[in-house]
Amino acid sequence: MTAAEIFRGIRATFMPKTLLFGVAAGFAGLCLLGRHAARLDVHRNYSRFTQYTSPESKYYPTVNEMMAIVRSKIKPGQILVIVGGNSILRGVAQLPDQMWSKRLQEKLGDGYCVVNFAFDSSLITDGASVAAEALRDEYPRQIYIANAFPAQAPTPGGSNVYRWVYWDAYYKGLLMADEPRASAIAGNIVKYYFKDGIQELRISSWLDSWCYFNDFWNDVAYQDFNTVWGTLMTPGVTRFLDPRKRYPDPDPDGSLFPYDVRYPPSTLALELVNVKGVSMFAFNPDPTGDFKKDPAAYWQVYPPVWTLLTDGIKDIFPAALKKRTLILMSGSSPYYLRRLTEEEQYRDKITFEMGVRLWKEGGYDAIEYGRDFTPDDFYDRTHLTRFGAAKLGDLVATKVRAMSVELGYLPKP
Amino acid sequence: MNSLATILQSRAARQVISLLVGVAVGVFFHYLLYRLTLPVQPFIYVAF
Amino acid sequence: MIVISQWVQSLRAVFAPADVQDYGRIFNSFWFVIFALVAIPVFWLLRKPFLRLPFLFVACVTFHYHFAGPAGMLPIIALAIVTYTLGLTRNKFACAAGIVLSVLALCFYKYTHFLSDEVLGLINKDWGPAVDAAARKQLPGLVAPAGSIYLFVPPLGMSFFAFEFIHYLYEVRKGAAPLRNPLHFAIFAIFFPSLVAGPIKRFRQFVGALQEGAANVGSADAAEGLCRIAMGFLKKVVIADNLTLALDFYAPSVEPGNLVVRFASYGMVERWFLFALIAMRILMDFSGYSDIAIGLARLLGIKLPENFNWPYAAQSIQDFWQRWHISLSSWIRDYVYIPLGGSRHGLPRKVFNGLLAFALCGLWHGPAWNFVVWGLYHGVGLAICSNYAALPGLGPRLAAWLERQPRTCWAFTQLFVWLGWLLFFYPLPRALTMASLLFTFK
Repeated sequence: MTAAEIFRGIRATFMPKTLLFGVAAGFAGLCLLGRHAARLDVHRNYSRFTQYTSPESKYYPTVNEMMAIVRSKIKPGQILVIVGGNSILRGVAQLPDQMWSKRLQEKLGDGYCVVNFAFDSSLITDGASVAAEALRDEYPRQIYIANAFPAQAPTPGGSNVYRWVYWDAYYKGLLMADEPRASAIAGNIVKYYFKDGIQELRISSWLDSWCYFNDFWNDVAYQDFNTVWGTLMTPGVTRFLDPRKRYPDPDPDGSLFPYDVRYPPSTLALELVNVKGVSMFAFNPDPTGDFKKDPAAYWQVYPPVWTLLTDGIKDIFPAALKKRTLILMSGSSPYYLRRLTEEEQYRDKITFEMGVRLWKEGGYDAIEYGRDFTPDDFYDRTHLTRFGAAKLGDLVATKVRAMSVELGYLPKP
Repeated sequence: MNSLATILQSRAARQVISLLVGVAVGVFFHYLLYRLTLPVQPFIYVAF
Repeated sequence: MIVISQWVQSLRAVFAPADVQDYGRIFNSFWFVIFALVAIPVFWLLRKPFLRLPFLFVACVTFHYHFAGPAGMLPIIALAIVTYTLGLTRNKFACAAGIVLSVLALCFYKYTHFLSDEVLGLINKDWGPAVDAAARKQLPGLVAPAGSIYLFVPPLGMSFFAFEFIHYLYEVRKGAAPLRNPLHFAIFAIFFPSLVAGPIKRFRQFVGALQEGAANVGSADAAEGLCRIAMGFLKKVVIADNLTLALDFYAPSVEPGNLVVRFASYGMVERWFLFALIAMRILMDFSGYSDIAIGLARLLGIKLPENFNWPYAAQSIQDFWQRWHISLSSWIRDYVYIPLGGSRHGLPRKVFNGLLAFALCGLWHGPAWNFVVWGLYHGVGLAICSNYAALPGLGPRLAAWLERQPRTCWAFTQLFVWLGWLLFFYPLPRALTMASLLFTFK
């Protein structure tokens, strides 16, 4: 008897109605379990999302997962500080104990609960901001922190890679109804490249709001067994079927790396272009590629770029959430900045000042960091070592305390 | 093989097996929805 | 209000045409999940065949429109109308003309670039680009994006449509009764489970199954269909997709130039492991697809022809081709090999017919030489396999010995088939290097 005949023989014995009942029961049962899993915090001792708990390795944390992390970490009476932004704020090149957000927590003390939901290359509007918004009623005393570069206009509803969190929360009814933001998102979907895949994403998020498959199977992937091969699966370091909780936090202590690795001479020219690039587009270029100056020898601001920023930040969050948002303008390492001409350094400085001013005028709070740091504080052009992390933690702690008073979370001293 | 055939002749056993297979299929469809949210690979023969 | 607005947004998302990124995602798309969740239960609920068939047609059109778009639908609709009309005439010449039209349409969409650049180019290197440029100028709306292996964008499932229409007209020309009911023909043409990648249907068997399904679909069909779909997705999503990702990790497709270097850097065990991954991935991917298609049809009470029957258990090349992509191999047999004369005109002619049929079978997979080489490789294998016993002296003894060694036969057959996949997926020099590395110790 061949295997095919055995299978056919077994299939012939199935009782169709019982089997169909089983299908419905199995599916419905997991939907219910998914609803339950959505409330569980599986990330015990959470410090940050690593490469093994992020889309880089095909793991997509849900908004419920983030909310559950907050609920398990926060103590009654604490002010919630949620950190978003990109790899700089995620703490690349910092061990979990050296992370800037850990320093921030230490500096702020027991009155605050700092949770870091930053992802590599993510924007202000990505996952962390969605989690914070979803928790607005539960923890109204909250501050949201993310980073940006000057003149970097964020996209409403999140970046192409991380926007699943927005739609996840949207279809689960966790977001504030905000017509300007909805129009801005719809406009962006029509206008820009991230139209691709949006239909699938929205249908999947809508289905998930009924079936909770992402919460349930993320829970399984994190706690029990992984089922998806990812390009980061490195034999010897990770094993395909191991649950994600067993995977290491791969970020090293960047301060231990020699300068030749952190600031490779071979990329110096390219990195200088990048550093200049932060301010290049903010100013009016003339046909020779240089930048126009006015009669008093000041750089002429290039209005289209800044208009894009001011228009862009207008509707990314509901008005009520803007004031509790702190934008950190991430500066470049002085290792490179010092190699610019004086004029270029000046241009960089006023670009950052302008960025901070416009975010503030848009109703947010903003500060710049990095200009007074040393090359040792940076791991590379933008990421921080543990030394820089400590400085940033101290700087932001002072700002967060001030904001807490301004927002009325704490009484005036 | 014969014992399996004998078991499969019992109505109760068939009920249980059908139910278990059904539950397994239902669980798998739930998992399938999760997998479809991750980046998926196109079918090779669609290109032909 | 918010709930209503969310529902409206969801509906908008469902009815929008497919995204660029969704190309290639057919059964494994969320749009299809919603489509199936609506279309199949409605089909069940309608209960009467005269309601079910028009509804099924509408569902097929919706599916076709979503994944192919108007530009992909129009050529198929035109070809289907011509095929249906010519079939009704039962005129041999008209049917032959229809067959030629289907072949030309297939060649036009899939092989223009190949024929001009690769075939004409062999004669004179300037002719190919000249023909390409002229075609681009004449039909700018159909031109494929730069870098494509096609000159014109082929409609979704073109190869499958063409083969089904050719089969239909060929059978009518031979005397079979054509389909008079346009609804039956329309559903045969764009039946959504098999629209994109088969199995390639035969119209008499299909229409019989369609009528049977529309009248008698029941819980047994639903249970069988769901199990089959689950099995197909298990093969595709759990096995094939992970194998694809693993293959990409060990032998990245993004750096094809380094593939051989990477392959050479591995030890023997890893090389053979990768080799097995390549073979398992294609089986799981395509047989998974076929399972889903057959299961979906079964949910509608319709039995589609089987496409796979444990091909990696085959003990000879003939056996393999009776188990692998059965609907294609039987089509090639019935509509290429036998009309060419089959085995009726002596050994040399039989071998030639076999080689030609397999070269076309290879070319059917795409306009590239590696597919032709893969087809010829199987043609040669099949010629040797089916004729070696007739060799004077050694032949009968070898045949008698192999008959007593089924495991050896199996091992040699699978080695032959799996080596063939290297030709299928990679350009010839790379495939040959990889094949030789499988037998070369570091």
